[in-house]
This record gives sequence, C-alpha cells and structure tokens, in this order.
Amino acid sequence: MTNKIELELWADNQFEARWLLEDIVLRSTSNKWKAVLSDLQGFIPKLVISKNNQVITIIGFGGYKFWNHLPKSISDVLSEGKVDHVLYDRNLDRMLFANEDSSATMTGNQSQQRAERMVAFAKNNVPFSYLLPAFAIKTSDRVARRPNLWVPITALCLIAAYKVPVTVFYFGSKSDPDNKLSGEGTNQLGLMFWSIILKHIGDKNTFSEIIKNQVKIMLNEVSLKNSTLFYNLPNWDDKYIDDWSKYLSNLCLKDSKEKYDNLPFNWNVPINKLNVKSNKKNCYIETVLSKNISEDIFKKRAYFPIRGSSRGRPSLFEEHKKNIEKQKIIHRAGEEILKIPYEDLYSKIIEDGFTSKGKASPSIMHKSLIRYERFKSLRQTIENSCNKFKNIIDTKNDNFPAILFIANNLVTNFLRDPYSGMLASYAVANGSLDPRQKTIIFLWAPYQTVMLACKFSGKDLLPKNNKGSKSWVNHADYTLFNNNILVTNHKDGRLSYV
Amino acid sequence: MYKFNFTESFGVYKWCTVFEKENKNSVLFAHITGGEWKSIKNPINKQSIYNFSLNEKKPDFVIHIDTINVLLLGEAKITLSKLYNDIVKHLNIIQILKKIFSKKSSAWENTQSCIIPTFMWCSEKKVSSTKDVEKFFNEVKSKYLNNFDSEDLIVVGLEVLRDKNMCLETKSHIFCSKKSEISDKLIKYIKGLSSLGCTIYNKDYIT
Repeated sequence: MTNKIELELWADNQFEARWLLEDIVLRSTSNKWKAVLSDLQGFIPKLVISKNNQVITIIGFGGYKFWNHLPKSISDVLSEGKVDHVLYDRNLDRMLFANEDSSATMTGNQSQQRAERMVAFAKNNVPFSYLLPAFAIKTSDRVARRPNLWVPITALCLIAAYKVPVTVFYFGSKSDPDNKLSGEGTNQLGLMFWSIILKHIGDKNTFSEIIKNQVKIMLNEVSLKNSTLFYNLPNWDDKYIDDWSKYLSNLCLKDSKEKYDNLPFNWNVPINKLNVKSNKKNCYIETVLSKNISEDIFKKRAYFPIRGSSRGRPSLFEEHKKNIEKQKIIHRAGEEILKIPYEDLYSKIIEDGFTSKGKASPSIMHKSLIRYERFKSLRQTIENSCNKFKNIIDTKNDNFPAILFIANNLVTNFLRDPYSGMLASYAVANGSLDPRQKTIIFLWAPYQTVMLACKFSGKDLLPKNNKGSKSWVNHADYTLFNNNILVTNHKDGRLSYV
Repeated sequence: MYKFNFTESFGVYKWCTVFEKENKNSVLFAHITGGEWKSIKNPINKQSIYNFSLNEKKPDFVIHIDTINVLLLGEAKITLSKLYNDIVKHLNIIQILKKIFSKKSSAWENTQSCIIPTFMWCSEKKVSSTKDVEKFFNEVKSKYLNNFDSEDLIVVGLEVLRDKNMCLETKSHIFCSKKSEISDKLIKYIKGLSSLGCTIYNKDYIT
C-alpha cells in the first residue's frame, strides 16, 4: 500500500519556493528517490518524490500575503516578521521548519536584525535556522566583516528555553565573502531541510547529527570570538564546550530535562568580579538620565558588556530637524490624552552629538547596551532622573538583573531594522527567558514618541499592529519614550504609562 | 484550484521560469527575489556583473537570450496602464546598464549584446487589445526618440494572463521600427515561449 503525504512549502516569493524545491530534487534523487517537478496553474511549483511505497508531494507558495489559503498558524507567527521558508503539514496544522536568509549585509549588529523571527518561531515550537555570512563586505568601506555573537547566543538560549532546535549556519569565508556557495552553511541548511522531510515520514535521516554538529559549531563560534566582542562572558569556559554541546542537543532532540545549571550564558555575576571598564564619562549626549547612567557605570552598578565605544552613523542637521518635526506630528495623535508635549532635543543632538561639519550622531551613550547587576539600581536611576517616577516603578523586580537597551534612532518607524531584532536577541541572550536570571528588559527610545509604538483606544494605551511593536511587546518590560513617558508592559496584554 | 491576489511579482516569476525552461542560465536578475536582488549575476560563472546600491533605481528583470545575444531589460507593473508612468525611468535605467553590459569583465564577456527595452504587465481573463498595446508602444517610441539619438528601436511586451481557472498564460508583443536580422531572430525565439502567441507591431511582418 502506498503511503502518501502532502506538504506545503511557504516562501517569501515564488522564486525562493522553487529554488528550495529544486534543491530537494537534487538531494532526493541522489538518495535514489524519483523526483518530478511540475507546475500547477502554470506557475505553482509542485514536487513529487517517491521511493518504494512512499510518495511525498510538496507544493510551493511564494509571497505569503497573496494566497487565500495561508494557514492562520503561519500568518500569526509571521506577524512578528516574515521568514524565507516555512515547511507546513496542513493535515496536522503543523509548521515543521522555518528558516531565514537575509540579503542584507549581515555583519556586526545587522546580523541581529532577524532575531525576533527566531524567537517567534521557537516560541511556537518550530525548529528554526538562520543562514548568516561568516564574512561579508560592507558596501561603505568594502571591508570584510563578521556577524557578531548575539545571534548564536540567542539561538542557544532559545534551545534552552523552548527545547526546540534553533541553529545558525554560516556561509562564505574571509577569502570568499558573501558567497553562499562557499563554506558549509548553505549545504548544511539544505541537508537540514531534506532530513526534516525524512524525519517527518519516519524515514532514516541525519537530523540529530546536523543539530549536534551545528550546536557545537555555534558554541565554538562563541569560544573563538567572545574575547573580541565582550570584556567578559561570565561563566564561560572552553573546557565545558563538549558538555554544553551534549546538554543543548539533548534538550532539543530528546526532550530531556537538563538542569539550567549545566548550561552556559549565565550573566549573573557581581560586576566587581568582572574585568570591565568604568570610565568617568560614558555618554555623548548629556541628559539628566544619560549622566545618571554614566555615573552608574563609573560606580560599577552597571557596565557595557560589549567592548569599546561606538557611535551611530551621523546624519545631516537638516535630517534630524526633519525627523523631529515628523515625530512632533505623530505625537499630536495622543497629546491631548497624554497631556505631555514632545520634547525637542534637536539642539542637544547637534551640540553634543556633533561629529563633523553639518553632521551629528544621535547616539546617547558610548554603547547602546548596558547591563545592570540589579534592576533596583536602574529603577532608582530612572526615578532620580524625573520626579514623577518616584514610587511609581514596582520594586518586585529589584533583585533581578536588568539590561538597558537604547534605540537611538529618530526615524518614524518604531524599532525599525535592526532594532526589533536587536531588542529580541539582547533580551533572550541576556537571560530574559532563563529561570536563573529572569533579566528585566528596559528599552529607552529617547527621541521617539510613544505614539509611534502605540495608539489610544479611549484612554487605554494599546500597541500598534506592526512588526516593531510586536517585538517590543514580546520583549520589553519597561520603555522610556521621548519626554519621560514611561510605559510598563504588564505582559498580560495591558500597557500602562506615566 | 488555489486562489491568489494577482501581482506583478507572479508575472515576473512566470516569464522568468518560461525563459529558464528554454535555457536555465537566462535570468541574470529579478528584483523580486529575496536575497538576490542586490546584484546582476552571470548565472553561468555566478559572478556579479553589477552591484546595485540600496536606493538605486533597478530594472525588474534582466534576461539574456544567449543564442541570439539579446538582453531583455524589463520593467513590470500589474497593468499596462501603470507602465506609462515608468517609461522614462526605465529608459534611463537602460542607459546606465548599457554601459555596464558593454564593459568586458571576468563576469561578463558578451559586450556586443543587443539591449532591448522590455515591459511586462498582467491581465485578467482576456489579453490586452492590439490597439492598447500599440498605443503604449507608440508612447515608448516617442519617449525614446525624445531622449535618445537612435531611431532604430525594438520593444518587447511580455503579458501574463490569469484565466478564469486562475492559470497563468503568456502572451508576447514585439514592436520594431524596421525589419532586421535581430528582430527576425527575437520574434522567432519569443514566439516559441508564448502560450497565447506573439503579436508583431510592424507592417513588414505578417502575423
């Protein structure tokens, strides 16, 4: 008797659906399957592969939003950001696998820009892979750069949190950057897809081996580069890599109950035991709050986990002016209810943020990520920066660690790329889902009006329905918007503000 | 039957796959492809012929017909009427890309390729009338003569029809200011790819 199974391959566009099906043709035929790729309705790729009594049909649908039969389960998770492929079994209403492969030059923090999608799929128990360049050329200076470590750390933390395989694959090399056919990543990702199909039908496959191998590669990546990115990666020791690799693989492959104590990325270490820099001045743009944070860093209540200092790309003064005027207009939508005007920080930006003739950078602090040993210190700093916050912020989180992430941008999309992904990966990689840490996530968007992220329904503040706001609601516990509008996310669908 | 909202990206995909079925190395660029929209690549040696900057105006597709060394530089819209606004923009893109394709490099050696302005649009239930397409080609011709020196012009129109069964079919239209060896070869080639036939807009050809 023939065993038939039908799957759907959803993709960002028809080309991507077809390319992946063509790849499956090659992999299946080299494993002695018969494969026939044809078109339905003149353009919908349909692959039928068969071997012995097994027939698998995969139909490719590209451009999610254009199809009337896009499953709700896929549509819901895609609302947090689209991915390149989702393999789906309609009979079970189950997503079998998803992957993301960005065309942007994913080096440095740009590599984090799709991380919110990793989190969204992992949370929905869908195995996920992210294909990144090991090296890529940045167009501005034609220098080959590498992605940072936050993505593999996020993936490994997601394995621990949701017990689902989340992997990062790398393509290209220093001598052959940006080339998807160079290195092992693209081929391994293709093998992963093929092995998931075989696994789904209960056939012999290499899924476990690929996951084990990839987890080890990700841990080795962290081992290799952590000292160049971080001052300290607390509790990291290369001698545990084999053990961690085994624990993490078992967690997502065998549903084992490994204790968190056996896993890496516990940042919960007193700052005075870390070898971190604590300069006296740590901010570019001086506001009451930025100076207080600077003081926290100097006094070692907080620190920049990432080495060095950096500054966002400077823009022309006129650009800043134009963006601020746009913010003011957007702010007006809620000003009557908020009873707080938009604070124009233009003079501050061009004075403190001045970089070269006619240009200024809006970056507030020397780094946009700051770790607090305890949320209590951050809460007190926030309270001391503005009188209205006194006794407003709940003290129940005081003993948990916290991160402060500053979204310095002035543009009129809330948490536009790469910020929504950065927020997600900083949150997860810094322990927001880790029961050992329960890190509190505090976002500061000094130039952006709360009305970019929210709308009012009567007097209730609701998040807007866009990708940036979804990531925000999923990851930030508190957000300080322009002119000291503090929004608390109660994580039960309610937002409150002061 | 799967129902879908018709967009030009389906049209671009349809025509690209039709060309690829004839020659798998014919599509050098398609703007709608995720991950591959940044550069025009030679599909044979995989090398980049030209890298677009983020905000640079791009064509919607570039197709190389190797056997007759013709490059179709295409602009796509959901309807024929929407293409009117983009004629000049597209002719300007062509001028820029002409220079790129005339330079010999390790990625591109076909420097003598004939570059043809190409327009793609979608239709529902019935193909565009000859009258409407002729009017459009006349507009392209007048814009071309206003902007460029040469009077020698071939324009390709690639139409994608969605029929009542939601199937996509291909129809082509070719305008040429004069009969030539290249127009003969091009007409023959594209006619063979068009499931609904090819209309030629030149009185020297009997269709």
